[in-house]
Amino acid sequence: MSRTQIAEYARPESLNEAWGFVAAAGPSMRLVAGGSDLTIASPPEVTRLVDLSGALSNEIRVTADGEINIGAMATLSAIAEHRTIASHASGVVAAMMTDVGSPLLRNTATIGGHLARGKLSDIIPVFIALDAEATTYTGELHTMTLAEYYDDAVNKQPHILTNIRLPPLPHATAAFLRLSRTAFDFPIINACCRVDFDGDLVTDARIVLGATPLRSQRASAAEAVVTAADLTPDGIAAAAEAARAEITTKGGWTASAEYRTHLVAVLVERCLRQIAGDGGAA
Amino acid sequence: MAEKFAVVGQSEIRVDGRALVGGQPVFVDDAATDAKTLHLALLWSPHAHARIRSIDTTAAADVPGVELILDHRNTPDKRYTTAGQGYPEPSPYDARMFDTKVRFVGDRVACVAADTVAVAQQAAELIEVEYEILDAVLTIDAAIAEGAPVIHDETDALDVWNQDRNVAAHMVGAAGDVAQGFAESDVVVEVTTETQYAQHAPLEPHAVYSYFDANGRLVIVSSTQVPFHVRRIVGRLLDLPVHSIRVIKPRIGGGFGVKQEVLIEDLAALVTVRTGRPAKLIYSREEEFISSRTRHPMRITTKLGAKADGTLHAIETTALSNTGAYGTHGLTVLSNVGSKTLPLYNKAPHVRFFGDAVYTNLPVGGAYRGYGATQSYFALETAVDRLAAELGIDAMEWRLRNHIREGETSPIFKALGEGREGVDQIITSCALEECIKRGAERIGWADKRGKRHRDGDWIHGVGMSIHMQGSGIPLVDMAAATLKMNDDGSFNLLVGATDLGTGSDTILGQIAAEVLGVPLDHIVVTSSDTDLTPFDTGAYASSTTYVSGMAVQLAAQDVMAQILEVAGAILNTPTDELTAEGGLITRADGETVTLSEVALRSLYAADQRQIAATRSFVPEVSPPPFMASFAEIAVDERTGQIRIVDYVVAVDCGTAINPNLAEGQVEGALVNGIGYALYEEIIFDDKGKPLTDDFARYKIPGVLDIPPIEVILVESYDPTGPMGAKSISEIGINGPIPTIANAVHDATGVWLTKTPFSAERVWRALREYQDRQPSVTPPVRP
Amino acid sequence: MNIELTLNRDLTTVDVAPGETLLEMLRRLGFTSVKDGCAHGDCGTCAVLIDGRAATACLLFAAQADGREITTIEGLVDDGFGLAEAMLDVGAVQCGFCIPAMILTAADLLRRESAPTRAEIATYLAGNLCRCTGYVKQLDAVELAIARAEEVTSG
Ligand SMILES: Cc1cc2nc3c(=O)[nH]c(=O)nc-3n(C[C@H](O)[C@H](O)[C@H](O)COP(=O)(O)OP(=O)(O)OC[C@H]3O[C@@H](n4cnc5c(N)ncnc54)[C@H](O)[C@@H]3O)c2cc1C
Repeated sequence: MSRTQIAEYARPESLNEAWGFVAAAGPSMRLVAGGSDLTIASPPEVTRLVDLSGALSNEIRVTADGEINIGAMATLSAIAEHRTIASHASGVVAAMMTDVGSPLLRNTATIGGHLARGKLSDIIPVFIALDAEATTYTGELHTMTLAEYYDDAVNKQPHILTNIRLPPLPHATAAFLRLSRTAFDFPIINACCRVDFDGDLVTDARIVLGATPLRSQRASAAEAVVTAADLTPDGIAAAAEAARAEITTKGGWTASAEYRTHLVAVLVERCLRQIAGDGGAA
Repeated sequence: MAEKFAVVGQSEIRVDGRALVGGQPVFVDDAATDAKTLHLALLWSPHAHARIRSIDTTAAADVPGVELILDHRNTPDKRYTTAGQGYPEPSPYDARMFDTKVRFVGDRVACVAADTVAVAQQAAELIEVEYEILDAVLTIDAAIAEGAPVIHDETDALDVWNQDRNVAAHMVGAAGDVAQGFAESDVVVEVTTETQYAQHAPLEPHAVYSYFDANGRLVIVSSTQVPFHVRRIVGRLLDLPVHSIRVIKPRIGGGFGVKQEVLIEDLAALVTVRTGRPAKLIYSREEEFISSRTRHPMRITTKLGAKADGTLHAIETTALSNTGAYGTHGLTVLSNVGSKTLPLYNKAPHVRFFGDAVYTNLPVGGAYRGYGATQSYFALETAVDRLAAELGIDAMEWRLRNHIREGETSPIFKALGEGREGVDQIITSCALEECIKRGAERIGWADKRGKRHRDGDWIHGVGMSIHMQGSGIPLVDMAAATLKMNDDGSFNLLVGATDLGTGSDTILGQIAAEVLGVPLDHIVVTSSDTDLTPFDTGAYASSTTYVSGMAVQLAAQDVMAQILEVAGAILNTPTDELTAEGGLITRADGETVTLSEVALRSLYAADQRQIAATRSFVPEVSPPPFMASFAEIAVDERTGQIRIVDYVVAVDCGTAINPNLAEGQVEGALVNGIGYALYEEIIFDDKGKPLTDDFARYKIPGVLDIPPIEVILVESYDPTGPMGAKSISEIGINGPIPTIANAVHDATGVWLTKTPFSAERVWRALREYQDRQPSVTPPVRP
Repeated sequence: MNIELTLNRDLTTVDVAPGETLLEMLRRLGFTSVKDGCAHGDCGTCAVLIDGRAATACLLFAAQADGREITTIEGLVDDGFGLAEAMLDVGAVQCGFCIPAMILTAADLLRRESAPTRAEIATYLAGNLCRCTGYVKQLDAVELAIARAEEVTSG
């Protein structure tokens, strides 16, 4: 809990300099982006902090073909308020972001910190559904899908997350739903569905469940159910059923595994209905 | 018969408002601390039930900066209660400052005083304790089971009902013969409800700062609802004469009952006494959750019997209250389960209340807004809906026929007091009928009840409940007020009453201003300083407006009489020919004298004396405020989530001295009640350790969680209260549980009997209900 | 270590401990309007403006304020949108522990949007807990401040 053992605070001015700290350090060093994690609880072994604000960008850039490139230091508010992101994939990112903590958190919490932390999250399932890519630095840059980023061999190893890329998705409609006790609360479970259409035909789909309460999981069988067909009530019901069957959930004190599993189907069905345009009850 | 008032009845701005919005240093933790201040850190029990075999503080004491370590070996071993109640407290003396036994996770083990908080915390972690772990009692049923571990096996506890059986307190009160009453009834229903552990969660946690003043007197600055009880209890515990202690309550950041406990003042005081240095202790949020006080969880059974025409004939309420590791407020909260609910339906000649408060190895219950009534109304008001359904009478209609009215009484008033016999009383004001009618109209009862309107997966329903509370504790509470006049015709009002954010400094000032015919800014209010202000039992039991307000009114009337006497001398007129208004005393012919002229004469010129008075008030009755609570809710059939669509409450608090502040009391209580109904809950692991020890895990409502709320203040005038006022602070919290439960039934047919109504719990109840329904083929109609 | 920041419009150098939070620093410097209600970012009573945006001071290290502009209620002089007055006028202040942060958060919103709806106001105040009022009058107060500002501009 205590932060009094922290003796050093560095603010490197470049990515390379920052990496110098990371590469040289052991468990006594931690990176600080928005700062929320370590201000709440710093493990006793942590004595050095490396502030990333001088080393990483907080810019959100949009390329001509619609790709959105987000610097790791961009705050969650900056992302929620960004013009292009507001309409990207039917605005799912902006809509989801209002569920993440509160404005007081989002005004300083960063996307890099959130994704690097990798825990119980509303953002991760949405970003996975949108085929987000992460760029990390370990002396050199590596780009990978967000799902690959969560491989322990990457995420648990020393690295600096520098950028997130959301590829253009001109044919996508997406929806995000979550269940929590109060509005300002961590989710009991959440779901994001994205469907790419060619006319009425579904050409591709992503169905991702988060807060199960494990890491985000893709419901591939459910995705297959809705792909290469029209999005019909029967197809939606079958996909919801498939997701229920394939997603593993765990119980805890906020919800039992049985209830979470039940909710998998409900949320997937409602997201898909919303996408199909007959407004699944929110 | 409301009178016309000038200052009372106005939404005056709080007298402390500007300091609060500006963030001035007005709270305990804001006081600039002396460099010599010692900061305290506590070592809490990690076990629910254990005997302390040994404590080794050598490593902790060696940490540079550590000044003193307290534990059971070097502190007074007197038994006492932390409940800040009148003397002698109706709570058992079953606690010690530090005991050789710990009885819940979060019980005190040791306290370190050091130069900084960090050093104190670090040292506390170095204290080595050897525990003999005992079997823990973690439920009401386990507590009363044959052969259960005895939680209070000490030989020096006082006033515990039955130590060997883990029963802290026991209460019975009856009138008529319920067995006969039920036998004579045509319809009988019985409901058993269970309520959970919850916490008050004031945004300012417990805080205390103590020091010796220049004259060597001990000053305790505390975030407390009961400064005078703090002085008495700390004095007795530490063997300090009352005259050596001064307790000051500055602004405090909410209380809701949790600061009606003397939880940390003894520690700071003892450290200051032992070391001569100032001492400060501010609870962390985690400490506030694990080791302050909670709402007593209860299992309550209410049985109602009625005649076929709907007349209530018998009521019986039986309660098992979980008082946790210590019995603070155990008996009195238990009493209120019956006394604050059963008189509401006074038509029944056969009434009985029976209850036990049992010890468990879980956090300690305490005073929490609603004080037992909140738990009890769940059973009573859902039982009423079931009874009305059985009788085929609309639930609102049934209540209108059976609730208590002005001029009536209930035998329960006398049979059940606060842990003892109560007092007879006749209801001197009751606008409940109007509350019900206006609330029903506004919510659309006639159109919506029983309609099960469906909107996608959401099914709508409306529900209601009615309530009463009290206004202070009759023949127990006492408040005093001192009023003195200044040169310019202004006044100092000194009250022992404790403003915990409620605005009582403001409304007490308004009462004085009204009597004296001056604007509020001519009244300088000083409150809650045991050296400067007269005695007051404190802010609890919805007492301040009614009890302290009456003391203020009496003092102001006394001062007014003195003013008229002086004015009569100036104007050469008998006092009964003078009228006072707008800061002027006027003779029949229009000749006037100002208040300032009166003050100047009596302070400097003739017949010199301080125009001043101190008056006390002890209430002989406790006139209940009344409330009708209505909600439209929607239930998501598939997830079990409840959404409150609209909430309306109509409240009769007598005269609302300050309507804005009165509404604010109801709105705040209501939202707290909604949180308690839907999600607030302390959850424990299987060893009795609380898992919900911060606001991320223990959720309280935020602004996005509130429904549209409308509070309707229905005026009545209680002749026994100041300017016709009764109380308003607690009653609002009683509504949401039964109102929501009744609305859920209206929407779905499901009776909820256990709080909180979490989505998963409702989902399970819906599923079970559907499984139980016989699968009927719809009748074929031609 | 020394940091340099603009604190309520004054360029200030403060000696901070590397592990100290911004909340701890501000309270140590005597900014009693910044309250410590939970220290975990859950209650919002420590909110201050950081480069104009409301944020919980407990979730930042003091060192992160280096080079930035921090405003507490003490520094919200003529840009408070009459929020404090409105809070008092409608009776939105009970214990007052949450109020300075609530005002700062609303001021951040009103600086960017002159006429937010009640729902938008609520969405922006989602992280500012209050246990006394039930929020009704606090929303009323922000609406009143907006209405008064509109009267001034249109009248
Ligand atoms: C009160 C509260 C409520 C919350 N509610 C929600 C919610 O409802 N839904 C939800 O999804 N989340 C929620 N969160 C989680 C929140 O979104 C994250 O804590 C936050 O986004 C972290 O961002 P940060 O910039 O403060 O990260 P930091 O705390 O600075 O960093 C987080 C971790 O990642 C490491 N790190 C930071 N940046 C990088 C980088 N660029 N490369 C590699 N490692 C890095 C740090 O060393 C640290 O271990 C909540 C958090 C709080 C405190």
